[in-house]
Order: sequence, then C-alpha cells, then structure tokens
Amino acid sequence: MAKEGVKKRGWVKNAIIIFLIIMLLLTFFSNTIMNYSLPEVAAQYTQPGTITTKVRSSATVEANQRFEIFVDETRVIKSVNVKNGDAIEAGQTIFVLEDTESNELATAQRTLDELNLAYEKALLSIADPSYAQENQTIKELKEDLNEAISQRDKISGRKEALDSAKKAVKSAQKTVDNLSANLETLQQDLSDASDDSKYINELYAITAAESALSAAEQRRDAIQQEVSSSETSDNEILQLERNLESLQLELQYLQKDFQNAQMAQNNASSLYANYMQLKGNADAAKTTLDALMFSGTASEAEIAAATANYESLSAAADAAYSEYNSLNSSAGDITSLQHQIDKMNIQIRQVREDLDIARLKTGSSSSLKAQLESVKYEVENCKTQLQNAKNNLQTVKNQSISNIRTQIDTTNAQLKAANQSLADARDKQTEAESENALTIEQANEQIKTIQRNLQDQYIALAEKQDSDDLKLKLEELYLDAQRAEIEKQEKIIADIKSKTSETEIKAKYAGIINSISTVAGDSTTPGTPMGTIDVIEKGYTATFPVTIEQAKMIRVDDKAEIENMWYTNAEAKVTAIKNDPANPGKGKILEITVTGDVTVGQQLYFSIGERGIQYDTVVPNSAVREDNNGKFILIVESRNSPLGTRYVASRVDVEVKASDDNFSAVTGNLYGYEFVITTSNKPVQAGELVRLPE
Amino acid sequence: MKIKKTFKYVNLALMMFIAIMFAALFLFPTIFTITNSFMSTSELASNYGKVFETLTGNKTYVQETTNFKLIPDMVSFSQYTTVLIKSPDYLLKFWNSVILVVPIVIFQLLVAVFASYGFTRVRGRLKEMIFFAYIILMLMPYQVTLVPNYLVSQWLGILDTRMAIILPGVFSPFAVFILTKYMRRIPIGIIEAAKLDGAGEWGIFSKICFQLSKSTLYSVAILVFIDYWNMAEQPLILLADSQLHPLSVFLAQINQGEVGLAFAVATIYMIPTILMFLYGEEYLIEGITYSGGIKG
Repeated sequence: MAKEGVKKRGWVKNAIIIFLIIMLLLTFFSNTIMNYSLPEVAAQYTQPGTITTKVRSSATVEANQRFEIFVDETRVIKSVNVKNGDAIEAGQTIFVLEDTESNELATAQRTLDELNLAYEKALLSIADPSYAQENQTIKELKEDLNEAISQRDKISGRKEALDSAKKAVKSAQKTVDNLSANLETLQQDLSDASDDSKYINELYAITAAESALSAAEQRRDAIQQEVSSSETSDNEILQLERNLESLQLELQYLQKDFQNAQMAQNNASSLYANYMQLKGNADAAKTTLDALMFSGTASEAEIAAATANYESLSAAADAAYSEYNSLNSSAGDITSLQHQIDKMNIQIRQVREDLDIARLKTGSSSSLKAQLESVKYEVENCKTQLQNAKNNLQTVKNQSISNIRTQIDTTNAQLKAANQSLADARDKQTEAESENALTIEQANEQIKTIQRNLQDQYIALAEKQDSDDLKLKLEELYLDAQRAEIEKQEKIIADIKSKTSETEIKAKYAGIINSISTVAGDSTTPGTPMGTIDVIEKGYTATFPVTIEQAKMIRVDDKAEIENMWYTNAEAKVTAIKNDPANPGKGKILEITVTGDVTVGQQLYFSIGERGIQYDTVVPNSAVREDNNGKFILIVESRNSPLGTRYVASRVDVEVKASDDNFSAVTGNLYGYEFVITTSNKPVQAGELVRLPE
Repeated sequence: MKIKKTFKYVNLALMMFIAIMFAALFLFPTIFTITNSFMSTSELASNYGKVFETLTGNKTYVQETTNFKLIPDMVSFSQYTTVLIKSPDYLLKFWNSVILVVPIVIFQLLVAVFASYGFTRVRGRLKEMIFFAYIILMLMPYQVTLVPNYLVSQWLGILDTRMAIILPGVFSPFAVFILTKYMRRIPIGIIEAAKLDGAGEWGIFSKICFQLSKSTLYSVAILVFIDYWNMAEQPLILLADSQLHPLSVFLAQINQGEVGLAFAVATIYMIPTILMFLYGEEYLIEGITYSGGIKG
C-alpha cells in the first residue's frame, strides 16, 4: 500500500512539474505569438490643416445654339445632300423629299371615310322598339287570373262532386262484394253438383230400378219353383189384363209429360244463363251511369245515353228472367213426374206378375215356362232400366255442373266489370279529392300572386318603354356627335392640304451639321428632328453637375482650367450656376463657356477652384472608413499591462467636412491629439489589439 | 434465511443506487465543464446564447433558449488554443494565482508549525486565551474581518499590492488550529523520553514533533492551497489593479467577456487543485483520521 502511495505521489509530482513547465513556456512565448498574430498598423496624429478643394469634372462641348430640322408631315426622303460635320450656309438644301401625298393626308382621308360609314350604319341601325313579347306575357297573365278566379268559384261545386264520387265508389264496392258472394255460392254449388247424393230423383229411380230388378229376380225364382205346379183364373187374367192396359196407357201419358218437362228444363237453364249475362251488363251500365252522374263533369248527352243503355239492358234482363221463370215452373213438376213414372212402372210390373201368375196358375207347365221366360225377359228389362237410371243420373249431374260453370263464368265477367267500375270510381274520387285540395284561401293567394305578377309586368313594360325612349335620344345625340366629327375631320384635311410643304428642305442658318438622323428612303416623322445644325456664331458651352458644397466654392466668372489640352488657345470660364432639375436641392449645374480652338462634341476635363479652407482636424483620406453606421476613423489607444504596452484600435465616428486628394477634414469626438490609424497589413476592427511598427 | 439474504442484497442495491445518483449529481458540473471545454465558440453561443447574453461588443446569440449538451457536435481545441496561446492575460492571471498562493502556503505552514508547537508545549492561561482567540478568528467568516483588513492594509501602505493578501493569509489561524490539535495528540511519554535523552526544545521540535506532524502538514498544505487558490473576495477588495488579480477573479469575470473560453479556463483552473489533491490524498485522509499511539 505504501509503495503504491509512493508510486502515485511520484507520477502526480511529475504531472505537476510538467504542467508548471508547460504553463511557464506558454507564458514566455504567448506574448510573442499574440503579437505576431496582431495586425500591424501605421498611424499618425491628427492635426489642423488646409483642404484645398477643386471641383473636377469632364464635359462635352456643345454649341450654344442648335437648330433642329423637321417637317410637319410624313414624307419620303428622296436624298440627303449633307453629312455630319459639314459646314453649310444659310439657304443650302439639306433634304430633298418625294413629290407624293403625305401619310397624314391619306390617314385623315381614311378616317373621314370611316366616320361617314359609321354614320350611315348608325342611321340604319336605329329601329322602333317592339313590345309584342311583353304584351303577350300580360295577356297570358290575365287569362291565368281569370282561370284562377273561376277555379276559386268552382271550389264549392267540387265538394259535391267529391261526395258523389265517394258514393259511387261505395256503390261499386257493394256490387263487387255482392258478385263476389255470388261467385262463392256458385263455387259451393259446383262442389255440391259433383256429389251424387244431391240427385235425389235419379237416385230414387236407380233404387226403384234395383228394387224392380230384385223383385223380378225373386219372381223368376218363384216361378221357377212354380213351374211344376200351375193354377190360373180367367177372370183374374182378364182383370189383370185390363189393369195392365190402363196402367200402360197412363204410363205413356206420364212419359210424354216427363219428356216435355225435361225439354222445358233445358230451355230454362239456357234462359237463366242469358238472364245472368243481361243482368251483369245492366249492372255495369248502372255503375257507369252512377259514375257519370256523380262526377259532375259529364255532359247531359252522355248521361242520357248511359241511362238509355242501362234501361234497355234492364228490360232485356227482366224479360229473360220472366221467360226463365215460366219455363222453370213448367220444369218444376219433372221430379214428381219421374216419381209417378216409376210408380207406374212398378204397378205395371206387379200387374204383369200377377197376370203371369194367374196365367201360370191356369196354364200348364208350358205356360209357366212361358211365364218364366217372360219373367226372365222382365229381369232383363229391369236391368236395362237400372242402367238407364244410372245413365240418367250421370246426364243430369253433368248438365247441372255445366250450368253452374256457365253461371260462374258469367259472374266472373260481371265481377271483372264491377272491379273496373270500382277502379274508375276510385280514380274519379281521387281526382275530385285533388281538385278539392285547393281551398278558398289558397285560391285567393294564387289570384293575388297572379295579380302581382301582372302588375310587375305592367311596370316592366313601362320601364322598357322609358328605356327605349332614352336609347333613341342617345342614338340621336350619337349621330349628332358623329356629324360633328365628320365636319372636324374635313377641316383637318383642308388644313393638311394647305400645309403641304415643298420638296426641298433648306437650312435657315449657317453652321455645322451636328447630326443627320435620316437617310434617303426613310419616312419623316412629324415633330421629330431629321437633323441638327450647330450654329457656330453663337459660341460653345459645356455643362456638368456639382454638389451644393462644391458649388459654394465656385463663383461666376471663375476661370476653369482645361486639363487635357496643351498648346491650345482654348479658354473656359464659369458663366452660370443653375439648379439641377435632376437633383433638386442637392446639386447644381455649372455652365462653362468655352472659346478657342474646340469642336462640338469634344470631351474636355475642367478643374475649377483654388481656395483652401483651414480645418482643426485633418486626417489622411486612408484613415477615413465607412460602414452602415456612417464614417469613422480608428484611433490607437495604449494600455499598460505587466506584459507590456498594449495597443487597441478604437472607433470614433466622424463627419467629413471637406476633402481633397490626400486629406479630409473631419469633425467628431476628437480632442486633436489622437493617433489615427491610416493603414494596416490586415483588416482591423474596433476593439482589436494592434501593434505598431518597430 | 433466504429472505434475509435477499433483503440484504436489495438493501445493498438500493444504497448503491442512491449513492450513484448522488455521485452523478455532484460530478455533473465537473463533467459538464470538461466536455463543454471541447466545444467551439459558435457551438457554445448557440447552446448557451441566452445565458451569456452581453451588452458589450454588439454580440448577439442565435438561440433564445439554453440547451445543455454533454457531447460536442465537433470536438474543438479552439478554446484551449485561444486560452493558452492567444490569450496571455489568462496565463498572467495563472501566475498571479501561483504568486499569491505559494507564499501563503509556505509561510502559513511555517508560522503554524511553530505556533502549534508553542501552543502544545507552553502551559498557562495566557496560552489558552490566545488559542481561544485563534479559534474565534478561525470561525469568523472573511466578511467580518474584511473592513479591518482593508484598513490595516491601507495603514501599512500595502493596499493594491500582493502583500495585502499574502500577509493576512500567512497568519491565518486555520493551520495553527489543525496542527495544534494534532501535536497535542503526540504522547507526552515520547517527548519526556527525548528530554531524558538530552534533547532540547529545538531537538524535540525538529526530531519528534515536526517529523510526526509531516502527514498533517501535507494535509494542511493541501487544504490551505485549495482554500487560497479559490479565493475571490480578497483580490477583488484589496487589489484595485486588475492586472494583479488571480485566476479565480478572472474566471468570475470571464462570463461577461469571452464566453467561449469560460469552460476551457475552468478546466485548466481545476488542474492544479486536482494534482495537489492527488499528490496529498493519503496524507489528507491520514491527517484527518489519525488516532495516535505509542508502539513498543
């Protein structure tokens, strides 16, 4: 542990020593390094001095008077007789123009033609206004108003029509219900007609035939038993024969009656079907008639026609029904007739049997055998009758079913017609309800709306008429203005024609051609100079701008030195100091008169002013610096430190009062003995350390 | 048993965690200073512009909020270059600190070792009264004695000179107190044994007390060094000339001047203190915890 402590102390001690040595070396060399990195500056003290300001500038020599050549019309130049720099005499021809009409005249003539055309067009375009559309709209609104008023008046009638429509619907519904009930009944009858138990008479005949057959068979059996024995009586036989004859006669009458009754029944069925059809048609006609009557919109002719139709159909139906009734009553006895016929047949059979027995009794065994044969024959007849009864049952059953089906078809047709009538009645009811939707208040509101619209239309029409009147007046004014334009244009043309110039352009003054801006073939532009002449006899001038401060140093009649001319007799003198329009309030224009051997356009460098002004603080121009905050100078301030004297650049804001080529007079927070930095080998900022040259 | 063990480990882990948190908390300013010393001036301005906004030199900073950063965007030695090479003022201030602190440490120890021997060997009420006065003086904050110090310095004519700081530092009671306390623990038997062997006062002082007090001397030297290396009030009050100010004052003023150098200056400022502590760490701990004893 102690060893480690010693070791640790050893390296710490070394570290301390190294650290101190490094700090010592850095301290020893730091000043050198820092000074080496500092910018070296040259400085001098501020001092009073004189600033001799001269105003220097260059200017171009111009002639005192310059004459411009131009024409007042557009003409084509035929030839140019001079060039720049030529000396000319007064009256000398400079330009020769083409002998043609000028563009201005042609343009003015075209303008006049256009104005005339426009005037003619304006005269033709004036038309009388039409108000057909507005009148039509007003007419339609009036019709709508009348319609609305009549609709309002009809509102009460529509209520009754609605009630009638409702009643018609009710009646049609009742008809439909009745027909539906009838149809159900017929359906039930149809199912009943299929049941054999409903045909009592026929079943009775079958039963009777079966009984007869059974009796005949029994007799047959009995006779067969009695074949061996025979015993008859003549009187009995005679009586029995008489009975038999009467019964047979009676039977014939009954059978005849029965046939008649059957025929009548068949006719009655067809008559009934006819009756039902006629009745259905009559009901449909009734429904139609009701609908027409209750609708309120049907005409009387329609109603009369419907009524006639209905009455005719009703009468036909009634007739058919009475005919059916009479036939049906005659066919009503058919059942009793059948019973009687059957009874008669039984009686006849019985008598026959007795007769046969009687004959058999009196006869011999051969007669019994003959009876037996007869009974056998009778048995066969009974069987035939049984079969006939069964066939009759079937026939009656089929006929009954057929009748019922016919009735069902008829009823269906009637029901369909009744449904259609019901639908029509409902439609009429709906229509009546919709027509009734409109109340008196709504109708009045509609009428008011239409009246307002009508009023608006009247107002619009009046406004349009006023507007059209105004438009007409404006068009008349426009025509007057156009007429005035035409007259004016005619005057212009006359004026142009009077001013048409000659073909030669001559110089008014003697001088030197300063500039020619056109060539042969060019067109002249009115008001634009075609060339300029410098009038020599008026002398030369040069002008240049100066600041107000500079202008203060110059007086009129000051001599101006021409700096770039030697061995010349040219002289210059300030003749005027004017305000500079391009820089009002901040600058002046110096006007210098130049005499001697100079030419127009020559560039001369003038130097004016020899006065010097004394200033308290004058510094070299290189000491004056400028940034966004203005002009300033940097002064050197010394500070003592243990490491030696330090020099710091400090900023002092100044204002430059005057300056010449080398020095500037400044004012600011200066005491007069500042050490001003003039130059440096590196850029220097205020607050930075600097070093002075050794 | 298992639960006890688990509880013990959990307890240990919790303690460690709390200790680490506190350690991090205390170390954070130091680490922060060192890492930020490797940032360039522009990066410092963008991070701490608002904090160091100044009214001099028309300086403006890019960012309005402060952004604490530990890792530089680009490691730059520009701060150290500027401080150590391009800024002789800093080095001047460093040597000012050395010139002030080294004499104070040396002469304070010299005065303290003799004074503590005297307080140990001499008996009497007067000695107790003087020692008591020493203790009272040591307990007083510097601000209490500031005005008397200033007046005495002015009277002595040493105001605005380094002696105005060195002289009061040399006669500071702190080292006397520590050394006296230590020397009183030296067993009387050793001293009597030396007396019996014919040693005089100087012999006892030089051969016994001084030798035995070496570790305490080292620890006191370190403590005094640290104390006077960080002094700021005395130079501010007693030295009007800023060229004589030590590094501690320069460091306090740098926030109003070259902000970009603050962290580098602070890091370099820490180095002597750390080296001194590392050098005398053992003595420091030993000197504080010595329990004395006679062997054999």
